[in-house]
Amino acid sequence: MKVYDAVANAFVKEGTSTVFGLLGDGQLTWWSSIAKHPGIQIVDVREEGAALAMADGWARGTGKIGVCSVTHGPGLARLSLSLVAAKRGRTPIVVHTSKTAFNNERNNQFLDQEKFVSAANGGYIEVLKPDFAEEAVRQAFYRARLESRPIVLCIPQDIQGKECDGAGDEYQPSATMFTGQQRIRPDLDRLHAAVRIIAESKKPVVLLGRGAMAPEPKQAADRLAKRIGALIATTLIAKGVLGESEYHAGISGLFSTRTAMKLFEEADCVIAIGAALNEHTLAGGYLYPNARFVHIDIAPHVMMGNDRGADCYIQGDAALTAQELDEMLAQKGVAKEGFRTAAVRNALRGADRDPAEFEIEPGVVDTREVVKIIDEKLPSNVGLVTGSAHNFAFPAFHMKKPRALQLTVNRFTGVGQVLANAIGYGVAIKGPLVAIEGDGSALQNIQELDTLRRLGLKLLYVIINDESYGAEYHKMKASGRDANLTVVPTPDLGAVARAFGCRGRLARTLEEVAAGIDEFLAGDGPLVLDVRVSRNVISIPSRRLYFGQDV
Amino acid sequence: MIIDIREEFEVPASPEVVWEIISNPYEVVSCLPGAAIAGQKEDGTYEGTIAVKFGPTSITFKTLVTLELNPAAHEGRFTSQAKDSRGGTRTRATATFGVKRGPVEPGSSVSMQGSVEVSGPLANLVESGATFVIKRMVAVFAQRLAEKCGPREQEAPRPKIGLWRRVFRLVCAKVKGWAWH
Repeated sequence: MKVYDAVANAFVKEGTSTVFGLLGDGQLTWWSSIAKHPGIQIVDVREEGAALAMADGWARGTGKIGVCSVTHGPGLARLSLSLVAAKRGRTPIVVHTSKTAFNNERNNQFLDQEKFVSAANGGYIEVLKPDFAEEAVRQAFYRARLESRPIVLCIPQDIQGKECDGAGDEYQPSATMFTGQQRIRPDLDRLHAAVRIIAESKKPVVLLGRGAMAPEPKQAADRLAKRIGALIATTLIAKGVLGESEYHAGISGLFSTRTAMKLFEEADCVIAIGAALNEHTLAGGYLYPNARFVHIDIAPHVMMGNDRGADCYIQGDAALTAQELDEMLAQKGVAKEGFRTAAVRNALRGADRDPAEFEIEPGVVDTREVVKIIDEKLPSNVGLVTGSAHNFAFPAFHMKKPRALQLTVNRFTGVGQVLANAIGYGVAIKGPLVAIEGDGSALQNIQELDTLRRLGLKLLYVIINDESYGAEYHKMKASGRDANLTVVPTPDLGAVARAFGCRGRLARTLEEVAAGIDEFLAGDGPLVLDVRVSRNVISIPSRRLYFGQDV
Repeated sequence: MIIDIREEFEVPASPEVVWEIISNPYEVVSCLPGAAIAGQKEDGTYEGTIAVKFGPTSITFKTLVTLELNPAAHEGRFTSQAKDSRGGTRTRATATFGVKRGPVEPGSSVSMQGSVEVSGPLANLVESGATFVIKRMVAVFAQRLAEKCGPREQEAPRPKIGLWRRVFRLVCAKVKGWAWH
């Protein structure tokens, strides 16, 4: 069996169903081989970094290992930002690539690939003898799942065409060795210690992170929170989890409302479930000055964002631990009102209202109003993908409808990551979604509208267009520098979308925004909405960060 | 991160009156909301606390302040090293200040130049906002300083602060300092 056939077969046996890639001369053999397998979907992407970002979004949407294929050298070099982003987002991905001829560093496309991948935080496995090829695929998938990061698997051109003893249908996929994270039962002593802290608490907060987004931990956390009268908060990534609760304070961190921050100040106990409690969630360690921390996570230990350990750290499965805590507290007869009073409920209602008024010039709209319309018009089954930079604070603050499907693409805060992640996520969830991104970000990967059009996904791509690099605009302004240096005019991106074969609209009024959403809902396939917004509207986190405002 | 300080404001009082206040740390502290002096060490450095509001978050710093004064020139130099007890933020500030005769009599122009270096978790939270926080603090300080100077302008020159009064203030400041914790 040829190495490329053995490797393609092993990928399929590992469960590969969708490959995001861009064909180059390094993968011709493997690409041809895997394309022959029935049920394999190859998504032709227009830029390698976008292909990896799509595999990232796909993996997040399916919970499986994403697969991306790019050619060696220049193809691989384009992955840098997406590799780091996937590592930071802890996404398991296998990147298939090749390598230029051995012992020829003068080859135009030569790259010290291992060094490059390692600098971009990826793992690297290279096949140097044909009989290692299948084992290499197994290792790549095993490590991707175990290490939760991208593993680059290199099948050099000098090896691809060689013969090997392929296992064919007998190939043992990595899942037979490692099926994934086991449910860790929490240690009883730690549970007792946590119960003591929680039982003594009068004002507890249950803080949910990415590890508590699945239905089971979510329900367990809800029961626990109800028993102890806890306020609910989430990390940015877990935004909206248990959002239907009247005692939901929103996101914990710089994205908290002022009301929530005041309540957090009163909290005497934080029970963090599946949340790393990083410096963002704890606002540098200043958010819960009077609280003791019970920190539940599957890692042996996680240092909190203030460089301290929790008062009680419990290594354990999120659902099991929350359940056990709830049962032990029930046995002790603990049931309290805590934060769950009419006063708190009333305070939280409308806490996200932003009374600040900004002058809105003609032909542009207030971003806060735009995201509110999006939230109102799109039903809960429409997933939400957001990114980083200035614009994403608006959906984080003002979109409140609970949405089971949502993806925050912000771990490396590189611009240009949302569209590609959203496409991968859309392929995974097979349902409607909205992706919100700024104009600078959109224009970094606008070519992927072509991929989007070919896939025909029901995706509303909202470009919050202030014709500038928004975060930089406000930073320049705050520091007394020339903010106009950040202004770069854009063409009508609705028209650009139409040229790509998508539906597209330019919206300069709130009515046009609403009409665009209606058109999206009424028809099939993607729609790009270029919404012209005022640079005068500054998000609440930016007002705090850049202008030191107490808002 | 480094925050540059370059502030100048006018006070409707003579430079002599203004200097007497701003060269006295206890008087300065009384013009700064949230600040208190806990005591003076043998080497002359002052121990104090100051609560600063960054956005909705209030952070209390413990600080050591060294003051070098040149009364003849109405100029001084101030260095401070501060840390907060919760988040592990450290700040190191150096500034020179001076009082000059202002354009309108009786009036003074107070200037302050220097920088604050912030390290630790707060550095990521404050960004350029810290500049505005400092500006607001200076504005409040200027207003309180003016209030302090204002009525005295008509009075006879204030006598030099006596030893007993100093001791009394020290005790008051200590009590205030304790109350902070």
